[in-house]
Amino acid sequence: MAKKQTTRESKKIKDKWKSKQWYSIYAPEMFNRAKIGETLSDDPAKMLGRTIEVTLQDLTGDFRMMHIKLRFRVVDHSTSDAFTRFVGLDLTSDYIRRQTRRKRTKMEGVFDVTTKDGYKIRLKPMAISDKRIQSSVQYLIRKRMESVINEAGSGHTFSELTSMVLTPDKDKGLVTQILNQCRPVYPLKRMDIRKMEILAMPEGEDKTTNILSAPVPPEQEAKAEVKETSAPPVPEPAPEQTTKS
Amino acid sequence: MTEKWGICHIYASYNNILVTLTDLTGAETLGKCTGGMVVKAAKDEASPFAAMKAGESIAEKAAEKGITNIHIRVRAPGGNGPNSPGPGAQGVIRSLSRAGLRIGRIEDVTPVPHDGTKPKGGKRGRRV
Repeated sequence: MAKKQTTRESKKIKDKWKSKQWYSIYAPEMFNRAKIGETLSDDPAKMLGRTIEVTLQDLTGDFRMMHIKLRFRVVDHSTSDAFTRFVGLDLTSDYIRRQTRRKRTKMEGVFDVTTKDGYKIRLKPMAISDKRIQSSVQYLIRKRMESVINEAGSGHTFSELTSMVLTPDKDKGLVTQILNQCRPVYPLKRMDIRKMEILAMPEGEDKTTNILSAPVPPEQEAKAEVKETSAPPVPEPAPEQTTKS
Repeated sequence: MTEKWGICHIYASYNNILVTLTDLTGAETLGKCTGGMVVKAAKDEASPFAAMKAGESIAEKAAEKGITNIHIRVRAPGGNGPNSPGPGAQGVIRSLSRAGLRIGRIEDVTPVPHDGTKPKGGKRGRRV
């Protein structure tokens, strides 16, 4: 009896695996709808709400961006594809840990802005100085961070703001703007947007605005290559581990 | 598409090691193995040897499901516990790469409290 049950169970599991299908996940329009990965599901409706984390390096091929992680949430699907919405940005923890050292000051702020098109966004900038600096100076720098971010937030749409945060182009970036504003107060060593979160989306602006469920254009294939080639071939896992343990 | 990516979540504490293979979203589990599944003695569950065995079994499952490349997320207990992964973390990674899986990013995802609860052990620490 027991034996029979086990065989039936194993059969069931196998069937479950067979019924599942791979779906390609695509980034939203903002990121040229690049292919960012694949996921597995037996029912496409189950994919909704899954999140995937991709580094900016994977999307742009720029290895200086490998510490920036972007999160995308699946909001729509077609027969073999899943479409996503940008839901936030994060830095890798090891990058932050590398920046924070003794005798340097780390200044952080948490600022909520509402964009021109009604998105409520929380931005968390992080500034690192090369020396320890006084708290009155820190206060001024935080003030300036806030004013730049508020201005940028209210004067741009959500996608403009996102590209300002992510752009590799130094002149247009939000980070450079803040650095320039802070320079008279103190020449900061580094400035990053540590985190970006979407608190609320505008009314009526439904989940489907960022994505188009139309079939993917053929040039996607070329975009997909970027991801594959950008991944380093078997890196040395040992050194990183040894430092940790 | 010839190469398929997955994520290998490694939770390495000082008492055990848990390895879970998922797809890129982390929602779909493709395989799991623990230190306790591969060794008999409880004291060996977190050992590098158990980790190696677990890694091998995960690599096998990955091959079965057609996963060729993996990202790795290493995690220690974190919270108010130890923040550095246990002795098994390295062993798993080594055996995964030895088994022919290509490894992408390796990331530490230990949950670190912004300031959390008081660690156990009392004011004067654990007195052995």
